[in-house]
Amino acid sequence: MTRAFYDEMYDAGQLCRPHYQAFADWLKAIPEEQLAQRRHEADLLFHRAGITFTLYGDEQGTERLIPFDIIPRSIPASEWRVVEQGCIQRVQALNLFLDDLYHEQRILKAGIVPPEQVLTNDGYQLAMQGLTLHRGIYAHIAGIDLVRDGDGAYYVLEDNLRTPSGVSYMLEDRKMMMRLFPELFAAQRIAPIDHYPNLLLATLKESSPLDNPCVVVLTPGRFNSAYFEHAFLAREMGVELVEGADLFVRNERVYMRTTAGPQRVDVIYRRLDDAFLDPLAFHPDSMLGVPGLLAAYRAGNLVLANAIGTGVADDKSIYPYVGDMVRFYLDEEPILRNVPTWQCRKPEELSHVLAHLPELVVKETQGSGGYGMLVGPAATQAQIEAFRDRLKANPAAYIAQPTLSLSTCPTFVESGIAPRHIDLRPFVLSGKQTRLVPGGLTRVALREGSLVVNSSQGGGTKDTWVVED
Amino acid sequence: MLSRTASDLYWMSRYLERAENLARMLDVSYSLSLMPQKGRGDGLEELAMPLLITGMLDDYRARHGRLHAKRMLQHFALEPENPGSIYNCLQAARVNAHAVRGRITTDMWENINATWLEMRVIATQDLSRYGISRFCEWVKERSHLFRGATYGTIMRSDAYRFIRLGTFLERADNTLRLLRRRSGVGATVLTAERVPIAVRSQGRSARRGLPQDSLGHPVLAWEARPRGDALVGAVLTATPLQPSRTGMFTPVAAGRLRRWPRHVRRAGRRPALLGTARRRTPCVAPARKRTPPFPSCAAAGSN
Repeated sequence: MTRAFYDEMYDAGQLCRPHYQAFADWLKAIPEEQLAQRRHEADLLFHRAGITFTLYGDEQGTERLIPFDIIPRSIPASEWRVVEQGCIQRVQALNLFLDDLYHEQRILKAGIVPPEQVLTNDGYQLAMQGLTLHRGIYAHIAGIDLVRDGDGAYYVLEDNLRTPSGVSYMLEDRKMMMRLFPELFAAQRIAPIDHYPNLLLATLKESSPLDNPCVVVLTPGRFNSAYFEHAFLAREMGVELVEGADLFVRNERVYMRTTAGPQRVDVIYRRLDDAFLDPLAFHPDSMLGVPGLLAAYRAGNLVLANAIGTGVADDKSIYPYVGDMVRFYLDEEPILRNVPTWQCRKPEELSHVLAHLPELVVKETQGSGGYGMLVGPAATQAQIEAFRDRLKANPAAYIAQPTLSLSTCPTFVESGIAPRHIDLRPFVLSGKQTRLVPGGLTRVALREGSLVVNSSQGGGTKDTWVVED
Repeated sequence: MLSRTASDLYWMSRYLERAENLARMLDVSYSLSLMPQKGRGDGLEELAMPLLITGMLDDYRARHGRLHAKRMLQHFALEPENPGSIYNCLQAARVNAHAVRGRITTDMWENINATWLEMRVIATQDLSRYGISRFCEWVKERSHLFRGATYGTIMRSDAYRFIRLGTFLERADNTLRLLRRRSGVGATVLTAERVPIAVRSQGRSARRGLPQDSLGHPVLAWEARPRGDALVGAVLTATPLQPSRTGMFTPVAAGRLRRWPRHVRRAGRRPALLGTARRRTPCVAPARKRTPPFPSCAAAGSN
């Protein structure tokens, strides 16, 4: 089956798109050895800087390099402005949805989102019901995964409202490109992104009613797959990186243990899932959390970013309703499209999915990281049959989508430069305003034909440029 | 600063300092083992000395039984199973640095990370083929580089002080271990008549750069030479020393020195190790509270 892919660099007639012209000229002019040598240098630098991640299920806890590709993904500024507005709109609607859900539940009463979908969801936290948050913001940091179909239109693949990661790679990739190829940045105007840590800190401070709140980053520890990023963000923001054991709660206030005695903590940028936050309230055997944290949170003495219970809004079973949320809360038409989705919990949609398994992508509603999914066109007959059984056993846990022909971008692979599939994750910050830095993280599936870009599945990253046109 | 951060910084620098001290010990004992000694000429005792001094000999014997040159070198330098090996010290230093990488500067982190990455490569090779001296030089050089990166980039706040604290405590610990081994438990070598042995064993290089007067006293030699290399040599040579009459490692031993060397008198202070530095300090400005160059609450390590 041949499908038409949208290529970021070349149009259908194999002509270079205008916003890539400067880069293409440069690529043609640079000698091959020099390029190879700089790619090698990039590997060394990443290795030395320890910009790594850890794979789950890897007993050794080996730190791996995330492959970095030196051919950037480039977006013309005019196109970016639409994506930006679309992301802002979407995150605003999602925050309004969460605020509504944990208060009056107007959207459920209006019959737009089925209550059983929401209230029985694992991500729904009863503890949040009736709790009013400063500015009504639940997802302070959101990562919106975008892909482009064959016609070049942007689609939202999923929303990440819990602890989206990858922003450190976005920043490190840019730093690396500027270090290796400064001439590229002199040749054209590429929107800067290095103010992201400042913007993040401002967002976190704005999430608290206090004037100058004490902000910390909470990490599960150095064995977490994204530990590098936690340390990176804490350093870039100039705040403490704490583990659960560094914090304690007294009189419903949170303190950290410092060399100068206990110090009040007002805002926690937590990179820890809800279930691990407080052993008194959630997982009783979690060693990563802080006993009493939820009590302090409910007393209003603490801001958690993101809030507890945001998982209900980025669940794949809620995803089909986001467009309706935009219309319901903002009275606007959604700027970014959703991928058509079949909900397997509905019998008529399930039968359609079962009939078309080899063409579809089937995902667990609560899965993430590219685990537990079936990519129909790439799967063997045996894999499809095995998945069919799982699907029949528990249909409500799955959704299905048509296999998108993700856009491609030229990428360095062993055989030279070849097109590989990519996605885009812009990071949306919600404080006084909702805003994002130009671009985001571009992930690339390095295996030929692969559509799975997750780093845990062998994906790499590219620098993402927004180029003035 | 978080208490855990302070602890991690302290152990990071302690482990790195330990690695350097172990490398020095290994270097000296390896050189000595190559020189013909009276009695046995196989150099095994010399190679066993660092294991003995650091308390690893029992573990070695339990694991390998008899003394064996290659195995001892391997055990001391690269053995992953030996928690005290140089390999493990570097790993522990790096693990601690990893835990506080938000607190140390990029230069420091990259330096210690690169050290560990290279250590892993070296560990896959045959140590004697790689070269014992070359390995020791490498460890020392990495330690110097890290110290330089620390000195040159980190803010002078609590983080810096905890790093220094770890370094100096480890150095003192190592010095005491050497002393104890040299002269028996509880004894001292801080007496003037022993000095010539210590200095002589290191040859001319130990004397170079030292004030003439201080040659009379090893403690003074330490003042100028932070790790007491002279002592390393003295302890590791087979020449036995007499136990001290005072029998204790105390400043009393220094009382045998009739006159303080001129440069000490001029500086108006006495060697800190002797514990008398504060007694009379006529030439030093009166103690006053020092203001740190930056507010200590400001985040260190952002660059």
